[in-house]
Amino acid sequence: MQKSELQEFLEAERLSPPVVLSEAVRSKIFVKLQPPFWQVLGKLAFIQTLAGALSLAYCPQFGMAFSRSHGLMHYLMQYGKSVCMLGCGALFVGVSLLAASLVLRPEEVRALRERRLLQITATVGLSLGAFVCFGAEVMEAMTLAWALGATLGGMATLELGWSIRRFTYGKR
Amino acid sequence: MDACKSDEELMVAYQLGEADAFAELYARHAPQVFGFLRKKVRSEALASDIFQATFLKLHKSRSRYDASYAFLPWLFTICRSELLDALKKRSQTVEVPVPAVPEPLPMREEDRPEINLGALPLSQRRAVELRYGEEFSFEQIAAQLETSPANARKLVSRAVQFLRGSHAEK
Repeated sequence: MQKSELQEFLEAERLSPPVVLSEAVRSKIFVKLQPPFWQVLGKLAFIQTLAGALSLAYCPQFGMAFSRSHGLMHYLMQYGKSVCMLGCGALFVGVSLLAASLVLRPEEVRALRERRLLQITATVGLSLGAFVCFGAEVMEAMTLAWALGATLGGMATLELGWSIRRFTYGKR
Repeated sequence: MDACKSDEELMVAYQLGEADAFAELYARHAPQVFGFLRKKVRSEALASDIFQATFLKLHKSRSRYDASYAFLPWLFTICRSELLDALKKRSQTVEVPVPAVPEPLPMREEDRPEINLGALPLSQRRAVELRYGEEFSFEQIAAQLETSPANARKLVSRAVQFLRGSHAEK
């Protein structure tokens, strides 16, 4: 019986590839595994725009909601305005970072995790800027509560999404 | 640290974007891939091209790797697929085993006709080659062809039917 080609592969003589070739292969793969951070931020901004628009569709504050239901806002408001803002920030940024951690390539999520403070600060800053453009009143204490909620929510969902990715690859 | 991990564990880490895991896998298996290609292809330049294409394909397909299967046969299927693609492109004559006949036909040896795999669609031809040439399971064929095991079974079945039909016409 003819020796299987797989067997032939497994028993092949080990020959070191030329150094130039190895360098070329490794550098090509490493470049793919380390995407530029600005590129990842650009993708995150796109996801944030979509997720943000989605969350505004059920938030009554800007008059863009599909329904007039104030259910979530009323629920959070019973604990005070600060808690409401905290929850709002966590939801707004959390949803987009959860989506990003599930949709982006693993190396891109890794880049986001390695610079989590920088990217969340950028996301929070840009989101607040967008709110001002939409005519929201930005008050210092409330803004801080929102930013804190956004930071905590963003970090938590980024880790949640990453854990899901790890679990998914590990279990296959 | 990575040196203690198995190939399969390294692949999971690589799937999650760890550059060190790729570096370790490369260090472990690049010489084997290169040695195999040098044995199959006379030209070192062509072997180098296929070698490079193999690792780029490995990177591109890494998300489809299933860690419950051994890594080396998977690397082999990628390497072989790149080798065959390159040979098709360059039409270079090398020693590549001709796939075995799909099923024994009820006929005397001297009357056995040539099986014309070239008449099959590409996906069916690859499926037959893997099934009868490499003795792959349907799961392995599915992984290679990036389809489901059920579809891989269908591809082989249709190809065999076609070959039987064309044999009957003769």
